[in-house]
Amino acid sequence: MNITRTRHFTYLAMLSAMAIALHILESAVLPPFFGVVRIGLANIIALITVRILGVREMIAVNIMRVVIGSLLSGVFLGSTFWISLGGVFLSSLTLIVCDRLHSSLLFTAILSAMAHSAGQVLIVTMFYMEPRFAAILPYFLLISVATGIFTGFISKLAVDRVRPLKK
Amino acid sequence: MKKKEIIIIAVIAAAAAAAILLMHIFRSDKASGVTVAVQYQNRIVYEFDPAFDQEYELTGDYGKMVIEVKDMKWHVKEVECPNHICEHMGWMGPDDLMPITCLPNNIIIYVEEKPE
Repeated sequence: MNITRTRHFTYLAMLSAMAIALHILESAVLPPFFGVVRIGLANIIALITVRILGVREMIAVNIMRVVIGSLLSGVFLGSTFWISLGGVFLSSLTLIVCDRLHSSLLFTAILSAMAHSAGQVLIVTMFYMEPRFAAILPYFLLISVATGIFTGFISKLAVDRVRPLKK
Repeated sequence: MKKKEIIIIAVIAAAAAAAILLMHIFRSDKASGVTVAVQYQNRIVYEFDPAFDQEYELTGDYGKMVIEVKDMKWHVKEVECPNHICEHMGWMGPDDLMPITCLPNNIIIYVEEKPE
């Protein structure tokens, strides 16, 4: 019992650390494609967490990733913070729904990537009170299919190798 | 991935592609490349493309002015001034060289840019 709890916390801590590291790494090292598109490497960790630990832990990992990640990169409560929070909020919501429906990992990955970009576009549109920003959403949705397949593929490789702690 | 899931993704992707296509058709039909400027005193208050129907309101030295843009043409719809010359100048298009001028309000409306 105690060992299970300890293992659970260790996993949670490691996954959070990986999510934060990937979040910062991606924004610092990898330049975005076409100036705006990112792969969403940290989404891989969210997908793995929801599969091996559960929904509640995934929310914890995602919140920590955005809050601590933005604190470390110095954009906490700035516009980029709210934009990533909007993306993470919608993608977490999608992950919860897909988990309930027992969807496949690849489908979950693609849908959460789409939700992530939709959330970001929504925040930007509200931020500037300019509905024309929403015109970029169709492009994002199409690119999300590719990035979702990529993140889904990587998370599947990981999930197949780790025994889930989920009850 | 299940068949149902593939269909859902395909539908979303198709909708996004259709939206992009529609935006492109809409854009190439619409934007004319003509820019009309509305200048008050020495600064430009509005710049608009006459391809987009809209009304613009501004306040000059004397009072309010409403500019209406419709079907690639524009005119002064209402103005608060003693002589209403600008209102009587009527509709102007991209080929009209003369700017609509309202001296009491210190406002001029002219074609700023036009494709060759």
